[in-house]
Amino acid sequence: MALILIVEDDQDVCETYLDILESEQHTVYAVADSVQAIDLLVRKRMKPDLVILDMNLAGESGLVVLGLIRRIPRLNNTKVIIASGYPDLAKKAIDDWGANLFLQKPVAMDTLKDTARHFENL
Amino acid sequence: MTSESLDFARLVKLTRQMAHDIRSPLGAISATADMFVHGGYGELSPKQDRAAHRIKRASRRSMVLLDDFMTYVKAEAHQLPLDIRPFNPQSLLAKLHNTVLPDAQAKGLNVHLSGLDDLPPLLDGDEALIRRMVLVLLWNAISFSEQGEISLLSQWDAVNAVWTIKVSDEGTGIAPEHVPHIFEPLWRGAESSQSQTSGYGIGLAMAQALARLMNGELTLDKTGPEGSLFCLRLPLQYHLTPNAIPR
Repeated sequence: MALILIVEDDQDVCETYLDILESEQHTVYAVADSVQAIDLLVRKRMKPDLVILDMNLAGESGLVVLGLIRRIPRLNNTKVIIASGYPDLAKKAIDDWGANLFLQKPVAMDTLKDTARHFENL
Repeated sequence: MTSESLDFARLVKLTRQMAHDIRSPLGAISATADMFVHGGYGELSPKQDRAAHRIKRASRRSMVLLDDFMTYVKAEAHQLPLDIRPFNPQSLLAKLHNTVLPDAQAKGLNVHLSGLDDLPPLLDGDEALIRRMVLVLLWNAISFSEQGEISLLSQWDAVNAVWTIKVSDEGTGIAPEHVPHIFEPLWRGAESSQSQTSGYGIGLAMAQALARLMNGELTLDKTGPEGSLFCLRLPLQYHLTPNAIPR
């Protein structure tokens, strides 16, 4: 089972992801902003298999978290999925920012389950 | 830019932002309902199961309505980029026919598909948007028919490279006083009912806006006690490959 970090500032969306992924027996941590995410990844040296990242966070953009993950060698194997309601970001997210996948919000239950399974098996 | 067009641009931007903000909670409702329906929160009583399915259906319908509305707004504002790729028009119509047939048959209606033979093997166009336009016409035809046959007829004008798709029904027709309004967004006739995907009066407005965006047109060519006939005309290019010589 995968260790998954959710970075999402909409509490309802966050709890929904959490319930769906926990129902698949993944170990899931959820935070609401970039500061908390960076605290987990840097200070607490968390090494998630998968990060589900909202771009449009309160405070600093999710891009800060993605940039950090890509600069830390310890997190080389961490896969990052950007979940956003702006489909225009899809190409940029993968080509320029180095995300592994773009999911357009709203993310359906089956899509989230299948995606987590896919990355878990890589 | 005039102040009027500036206001319109600002309104479109606000509408897009609003749609984005609505999608998040709606997505949470839909996915949570899915979790209930699939036993993610334990076993449900039959009454709870019906309620969970109701939430799921209502949230999906809201999402479709929102998507149709935003497609309409973006098409009218020319902010909807077309995704032009080669597609097989015969296959598209056959799939659409298969999609709507079970619901039509459940109402005792037949859907007759014809005119496929004249179509070229490949055309260049935005298949996903063409699919949405034809689906609006088909669901409307099914929604407003209680008996008879729905016809999905394709006509390919090889000289002018125009694809005409005609959808007719044998329903009761549209009242003359409603005819001038049916392509207005969110207009609802007194007798209108809620169709499965594009009810609430946005479907036809969206389809017409998409047709215009593709330099085509969507018209109501006939309506009366014998039924209605809608025509979608789209100028489309042949997709030319060494293996696809136009007929």
